[in-house]
Order: sequence, then structure tokens, then C-alpha cells
Amino acid sequence: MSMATPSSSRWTPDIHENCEFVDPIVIAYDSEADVVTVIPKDEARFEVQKQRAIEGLQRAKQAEVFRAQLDLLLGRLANWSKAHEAKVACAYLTLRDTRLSFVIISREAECDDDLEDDASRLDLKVSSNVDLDLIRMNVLVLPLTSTESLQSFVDKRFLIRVWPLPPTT
Amino acid sequence: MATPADHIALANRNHDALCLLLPHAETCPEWIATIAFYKAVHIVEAVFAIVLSEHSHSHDDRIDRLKRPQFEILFIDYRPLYAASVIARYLEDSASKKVYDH
Repeated sequence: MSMATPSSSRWTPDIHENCEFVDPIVIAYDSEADVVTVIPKDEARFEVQKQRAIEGLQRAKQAEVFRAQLDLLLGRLANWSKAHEAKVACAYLTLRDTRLSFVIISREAECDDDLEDDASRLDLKVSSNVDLDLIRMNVLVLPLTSTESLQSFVDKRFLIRVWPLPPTT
Repeated sequence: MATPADHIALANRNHDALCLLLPHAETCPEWIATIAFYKAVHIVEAVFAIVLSEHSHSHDDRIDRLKRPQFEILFIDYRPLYAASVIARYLEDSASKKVYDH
């Protein structure tokens, strides 16, 4: 894998630490007792966006199962992001074409081969998980870049911030 | 349906194009990433033609097939190339018009 670097060595990304660039839904997780519970900060918007995702992914007939799998997926993605927090600035689950897209934003502008390999393994793990058989998702690692540039990789109709988690209150 | 040999020939043409462009990487990094990706596409399709006697219908279809256990080792290398071509073509800082090198 070759390197990905901005053309100018003086170029500075303007991404913010909290990555609040397109008003994503923020969710927290409660993983006590091995049961991951997704806790949306804005439940109404979360449900509306979930429904859009279901319709967009043409899973309406299996909506309830899809909802449960989506919650499970969000927990898995948050855990993966936490395990890679040294390299991951933020991460979103969004839509891209006919698939969900897990967009990982690296802390670096240069390509990290280890992060790419881990992202590929995550992609395979989700794909082969029988408990996530309705989920069609691809993983995309983006270099740290300006918030404006990232807009073309997210769909505002379904955009959930998976990482970082909100501060506990 | 294209034969495995057809796909390998196209992969080799992409490789020849890469060899021509690599000395000028500063001026066309996005096309180097894209051609490298399409070289990989043809190699993968050659494998599919041999192993499955099938071809992919789209990028998503190809990725779904590559996620099968028998092709996982190919997927590990293919996915970053696909991502690099997407990033090279679509990730641009519109304010500064700076693109990403690959």
C-alpha cells in the first residue's frame, strides 16, 4: 500500500477534536454484563435515521431484525474504534450507495498499513458474523483531512458518530 | 465472457501504464492510484473466472465475493487499493484545491 499524504507539507487539516462536522447523531454504549446497549442522545432523530437506513437498504420486510442487528453492529464498531483510539480520530456509520459505510478517520494524513489491515479484518469479521447477516457494510479509512472534504464521504440522511463516545455525565 | 488470459492481458496493460506514469507521480497521483486499482480488478476477475467461472457485476458485487472465506487473503490487499482509488478521485480540499497523493 502506498502513502497518502496531502500535496502540501504545510497543509493543516481543520478537523476538530470532537469531529462535529455534519451534525451526526451521537450515541453512547452500555456494555455491562456482555450486553451492548446503544443509547442515542437524540432518540427521535436516531429512530428516523434508522428507518431511512432500513428503507434505503431495502430491508423493510425484516425491519425489526435489522434494527437489532444495527444496534449490535454499532456496539461492535465502537469497541473496535476504542481499541484503535491511538490511530482513529473519529469514526462514523453512514450510507454509501447500497451499503452501510463505516468511515474511519485516521489521526494521520499518511496511509497506515497496519490500520488498513485491521480495517480489512474488521470488514471481514462483520461480513462473516451470522448475527449480522442483514448488514451489508464496507469499511473506508480516510486520512485526516478538512471537515469540508469529508462531506463527500458521508450521507447526512443517515450519519451516526460511532467514535469518540460522548463524555460521561 | 472475458477469459482469465484476457484479464491478465488487461492487468498487464494497466501495469505498463503505471510504469509510464510513476516517474511523474507528482503530477497525476490520483490516476496512478486508479490504474493500480484497476490492475487489481483484472487480476481478481481472472481469479474469479478460474475459480468460480463467474464475473462480478459491480464493485460492490466484487467486494462481496472477495469477502468469502476462500478469497479473504485477496480482500486484505484489494480493499486498501479500492479505498485509495476512491480517496484519490473524491477527496479534495475544495478550498485549497489540494488533492491527496498516493
